[in-house]
Amino acid sequence: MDELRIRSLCAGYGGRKVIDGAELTVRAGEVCALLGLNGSGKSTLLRAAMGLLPVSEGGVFLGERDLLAMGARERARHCAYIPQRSRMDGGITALEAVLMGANASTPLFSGYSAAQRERAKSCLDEMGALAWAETPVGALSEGQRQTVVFARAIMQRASVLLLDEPDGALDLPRRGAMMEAVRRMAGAGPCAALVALHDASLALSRCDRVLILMGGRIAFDLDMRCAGEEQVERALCALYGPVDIVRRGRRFAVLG
Amino acid sequence: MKTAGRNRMIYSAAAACLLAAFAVSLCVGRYPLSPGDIAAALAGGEGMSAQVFWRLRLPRSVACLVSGAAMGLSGAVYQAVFGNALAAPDIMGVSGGATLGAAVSVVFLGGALGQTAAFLGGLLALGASLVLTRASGSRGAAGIVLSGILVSALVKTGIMLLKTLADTEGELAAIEFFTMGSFAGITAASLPPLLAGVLLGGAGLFLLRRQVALLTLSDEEAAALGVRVGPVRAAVLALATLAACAVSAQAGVIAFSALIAPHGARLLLGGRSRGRLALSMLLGGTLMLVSDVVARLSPGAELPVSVFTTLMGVPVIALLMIRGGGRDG
Repeated sequence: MDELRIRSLCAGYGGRKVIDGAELTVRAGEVCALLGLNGSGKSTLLRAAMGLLPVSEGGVFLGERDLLAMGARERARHCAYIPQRSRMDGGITALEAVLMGANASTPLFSGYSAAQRERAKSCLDEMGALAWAETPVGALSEGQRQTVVFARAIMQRASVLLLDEPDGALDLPRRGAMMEAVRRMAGAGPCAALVALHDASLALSRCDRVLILMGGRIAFDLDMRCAGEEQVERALCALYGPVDIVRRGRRFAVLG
Repeated sequence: MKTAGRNRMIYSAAAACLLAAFAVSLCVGRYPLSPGDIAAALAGGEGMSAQVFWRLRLPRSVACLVSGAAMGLSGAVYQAVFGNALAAPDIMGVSGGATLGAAVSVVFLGGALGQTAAFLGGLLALGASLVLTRASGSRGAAGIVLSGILVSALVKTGIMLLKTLADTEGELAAIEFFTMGSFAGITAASLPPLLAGVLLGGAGLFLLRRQVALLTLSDEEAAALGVRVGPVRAAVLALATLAACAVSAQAGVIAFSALIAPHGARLLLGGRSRGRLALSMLLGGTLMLVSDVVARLSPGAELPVSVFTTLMGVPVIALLMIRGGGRDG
């Protein structure tokens, strides 16, 4: 199974480098959080890795393959990207939305096959969303729509999952369920999941690793499976200033 | 499954209306034809009725049907691609650009390459409209309408200038003809260029139907799903524009014709997208046939078909404005 490797990546808008020499590796099956202040470039990093922004230096690799050298179609077969908010036409059904995940593996002029429809249903089923298959996404709640977008990413059969602040629009109980879903997706592929998160407690409690983005590069790389409390506190204080870290078992809370 | 059954009923009803409107359209006109006359003409009969049927009535009815379907299709595609309920080739000045192109061909090329000139005129108008919308920073419903007004004003001025250059014998009449928005001048010779443009555009859009749906997503999301957004969107818009321009090269600007049908389809399908393009075509064809029949029936001089499409289109736009929408879906 291939790992996602980002090597001395530089990207930004106009002449301004928002990401300046970012280095990171995510192994298959691993869920890796990306934390940073607002405007620190979490989204920029993910979008650059997906080839949605011009990259001035560095590279993004899946195993030995150069993701940035691929065309959009080929890249979409390896890499799934979930934006902060999906803008779907409210009139398509959940099933039609999930089928869009098969676009890159369907010949340009063909329709979706019956087999693809069946697989889209099983993707919805995997996310516990089969009941909405025929419901227009416009009639679903924000959380339900996100579940549909996750099912679409499963449909893509990608080896890399890039998620941009999927916790942004969710209330507390939904956040835990969402992270469980990400973990299931990462485990099932298995695929390397890189998740920009807003909520630091969620990142520390639910992810295998936490990467802290500061000054356009990864300043701290915490392996939550073995990181000590002090190590976590030092990294978080560097990011947020003085904060308290409360630990209960595997769970953490960050108190500002 | 319930939805599928309901949709089948809607399609059947729409197709039945289309056929009925077509049948009525074959009979009605300055020289009315009875079903018996038509049967006789079809059986190879000769005489006045058969002449009217083959030379005028059948071409005109086919042109109405095809034009309506083409405008419905291109309007629905514009709406989907721009994510804007007011986007349509007539609103954005594209149909006007096509008539300007056709007028250029009449004045400078003796009418040659009319179809190509119309397509180029339409593409130019589309480009101008998009540049204006983007430059104004407003990607909302209003931005597109305002840019369309500007482009249409330019187009009208251009046509006026061309009229002063046109000779008063044939050219002026020809320009008047297709700037008015009417099917009165359609003969059998108008059909091949019209059908070619519409079929080419329609077939291309059918092949790219999955991509049209993907273009309703944000650009980034579509790109992340493997759509080469720039070229695909350009191709889809060019095909929709080709269909709309083929209509305007023969029948001029038929106001609002590309706006009513997609909204009707949206209404009938209860906000579901599946089948929206196909139903827009069926409804567009029906609306155009009905409007043209009414235009032919009017006492005194025949009215331009735009009179009736406008009467139907204005309430639709007003409703959209009042609901404050404009945003798709």
